[in-house]
Amino acid sequence: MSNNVLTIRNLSVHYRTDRGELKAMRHINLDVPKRSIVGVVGESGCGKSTLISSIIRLLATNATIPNGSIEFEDRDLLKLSENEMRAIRGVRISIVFQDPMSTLNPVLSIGRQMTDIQYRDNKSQADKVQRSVDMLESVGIPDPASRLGQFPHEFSGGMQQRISIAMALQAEPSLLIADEPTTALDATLEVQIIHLLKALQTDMGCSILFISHHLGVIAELCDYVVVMYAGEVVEEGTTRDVFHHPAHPYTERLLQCDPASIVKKSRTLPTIPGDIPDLVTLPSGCVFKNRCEHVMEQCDTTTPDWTEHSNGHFVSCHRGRT
Amino acid sequence: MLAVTLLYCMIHMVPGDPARILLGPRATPELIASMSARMGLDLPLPVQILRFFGNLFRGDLGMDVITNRPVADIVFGQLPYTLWLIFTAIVFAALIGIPLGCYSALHRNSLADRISGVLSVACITAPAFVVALYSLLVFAVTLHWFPAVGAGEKGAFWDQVSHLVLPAFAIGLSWIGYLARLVRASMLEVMGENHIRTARAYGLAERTVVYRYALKLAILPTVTVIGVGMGFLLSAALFTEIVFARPGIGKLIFDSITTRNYPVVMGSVLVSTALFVISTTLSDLINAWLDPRIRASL
Amino acid sequence: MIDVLRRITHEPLGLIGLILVILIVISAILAGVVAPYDPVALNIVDRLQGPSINHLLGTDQLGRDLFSRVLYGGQVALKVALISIGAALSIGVLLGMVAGFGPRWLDNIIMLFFDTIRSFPTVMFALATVALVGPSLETVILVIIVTSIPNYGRVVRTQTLSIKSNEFIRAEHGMGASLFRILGIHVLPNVMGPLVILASMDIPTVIALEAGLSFLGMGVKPPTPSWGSILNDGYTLIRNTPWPIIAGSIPLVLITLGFTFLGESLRDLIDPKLRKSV
Repeated sequence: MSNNVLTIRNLSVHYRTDRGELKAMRHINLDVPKRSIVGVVGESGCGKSTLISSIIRLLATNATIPNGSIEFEDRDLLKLSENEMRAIRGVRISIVFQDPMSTLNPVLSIGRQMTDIQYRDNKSQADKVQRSVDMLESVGIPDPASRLGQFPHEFSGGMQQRISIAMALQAEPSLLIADEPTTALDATLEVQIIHLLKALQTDMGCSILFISHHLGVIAELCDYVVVMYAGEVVEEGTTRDVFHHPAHPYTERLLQCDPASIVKKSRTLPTIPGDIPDLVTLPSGCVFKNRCEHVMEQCDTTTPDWTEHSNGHFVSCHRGRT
Repeated sequence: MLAVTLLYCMIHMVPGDPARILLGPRATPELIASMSARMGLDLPLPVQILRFFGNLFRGDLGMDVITNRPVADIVFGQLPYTLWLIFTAIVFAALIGIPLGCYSALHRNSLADRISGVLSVACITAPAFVVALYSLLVFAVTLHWFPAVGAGEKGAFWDQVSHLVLPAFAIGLSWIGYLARLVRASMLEVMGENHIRTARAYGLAERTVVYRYALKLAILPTVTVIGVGMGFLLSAALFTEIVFARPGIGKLIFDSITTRNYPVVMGSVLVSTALFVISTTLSDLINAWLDPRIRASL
Repeated sequence: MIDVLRRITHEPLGLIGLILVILIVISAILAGVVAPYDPVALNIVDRLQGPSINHLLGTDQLGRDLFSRVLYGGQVALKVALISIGAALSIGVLLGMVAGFGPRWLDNIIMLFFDTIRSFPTVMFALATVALVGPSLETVILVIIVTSIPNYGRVVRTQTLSIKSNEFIRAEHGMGASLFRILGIHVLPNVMGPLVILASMDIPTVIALEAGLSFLGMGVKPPTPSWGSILNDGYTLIRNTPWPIIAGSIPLVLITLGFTFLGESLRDLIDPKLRKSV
């Protein structure tokens, strides 16, 4: 029995498009240890959503998985039948999505949606309702029993996100995927939701894969951090290591760009110049070379290996290697 | 209301006295004058219109000048036939069109989807009276499966049902195509929404996702379209009732127009326009019942 | 234009639509040359015949050749469609622009007019008019013009309104550009695409309406052949012969299908956004 809830090895996902094969994710390695919170950072289009969709196997129909494995509780999810997979979704792996306003069905009551997803349990309707009430209570919805009959639009955005979290944790999954759960909320609510997630995670002993582009949130919440760029994982390690001793130039720049870390007054916000390379016609060598300030000759020709920079801190970069 | 005023004005713009036409060329001037008085045609136009609306307020649509019966009685006597016909046609169309649209949306770009797409267009473009003629020709005249004319004996349930089949089919056919296309489009839109992804991510069975979570939303535009489509339905009913010599409001309008029985024309056009307004309101109410978001804004 | 045509022919349905439309249009135009008989010539001896080499679609109760009547009927259908849609289009564009650019009260009046027409079931409006004015080809055309003006007027009005609020147009107007210039340069090109699509989708409706009215005996006067009146003959003869119904409906169904397929592929090509609203 491995020490990880989720172990992704060498996973690639391609999309068939009119322009050709779009290599959205290439040779990803990722570990989520038990009872830990792992953060995934990266700018838009870096493959975060593809990563989530491939874990729960709800990829778009034009996607293919040419290689790799997703090991979850000692089973390779990619080898499961659709029925076996469905038994995992919402029970062993749950998701909290980004925009709470659109993740709940607008024409069904909260109670209905919360009891619907307990359809596998051989419980009486009253027990299911009770379970929903308890869950809503634990995510801090006041007077939950009377609100079960209400519809999503009758709740505020923050409340809707709490309901989503309640739904996700209802079956006590061992892995919760949180896909930018606080991006659509304002700062005060964001802090509340983060604290709520942390508290529930400690209570239930589940692991969380937390996707965000908000570095502050990641630093506060996560034990480990995975940095993604253009469909590749470029750096992985404990939050302390990655934030204090970034080994990849992209991570360095990302940290510099975080508004929270700006101490000096300046006229312009720092940015990373250049664009993400075209994922259909990938250039050879390192994916970050065209935006890297430490670019070297070998960056243009050879793809950097996935190497251990220090204990448990991995990076794919030619720099600092002899 | 404006429609009626317009109709009144139109009647009076036309050269020729309706009373004279009604009574034929050999009528004496006295007879024409008394007929005009009975029809209220001797009064100035605005007074006539006002009087019509005044009477309308009391539920009085005026008198049929030929049979001397209240127009309201005649119109409301024919109305149930048309309502049953339209209702049956829509139920028939919905029972086939909505599942077809769902299937097409879920198997997008499959062979079945393409075939149903082409068939839908073919159904939509087929004029109701041509469909009516063909079903009359094939199923009634040639095969004798169903009766050709009338609406069946009063009180004889199965007789009435069998008289309903072909006319309802004639009206419903184009709506099958219409609904199938509509449901397909709105289903595709709904299936792309975030909450469907959520439902799937919670491991709900695909059947539950489609029929409980998606269809309930995808059906909303259908209700609106049927409500607003009452005008088309009435037009189609008119042709169908004529082809099958079936009593109903469409046939009443047609017959009274050919006999220039203006009070009956006015009354039945008014009632059908009211039907249009009622059905639009009704569809709004059904939508509110189905969609809590609309309910909240009412 | 050439490009659009070329792309339409690459789509199977568009191609079928185009072929059907061209076939029927040509056969209607050349009716005088192609038709084997005079469409109104009586021949009582040969009445109510089924299809044969002499009479491709058989004959009606007066011995008239149905194939010839169908060809000439196409002329009537196309004439009605072209004249009425052309007129409705022009009046609709004019009224729509006036409503969009004119003063508020004028806009309200025009919109009220549009709404009134739309609240009437078309066929009932047509019947009422025919009853008053008397059945004729001109009446049918008139009715169709009046009932289809709002369709075009609304599109143009919406477009005009959205352009009117455009900063750049206001500036140009302020600098003294004439109203006609603004309408001609900025509004017309923008509405042309949707209008063409709308019109091509309207043609089958109009043809079906003409046939419907003629079928009720409220359209074209006999003995002029129209698909609707052929169908009416077929209806009265339904227990004797199926051929008039078949003869009258085939071109009607083919041309509505043709124009609809054509209109749909045009729409998909020119304006994919419109797909949802129509």
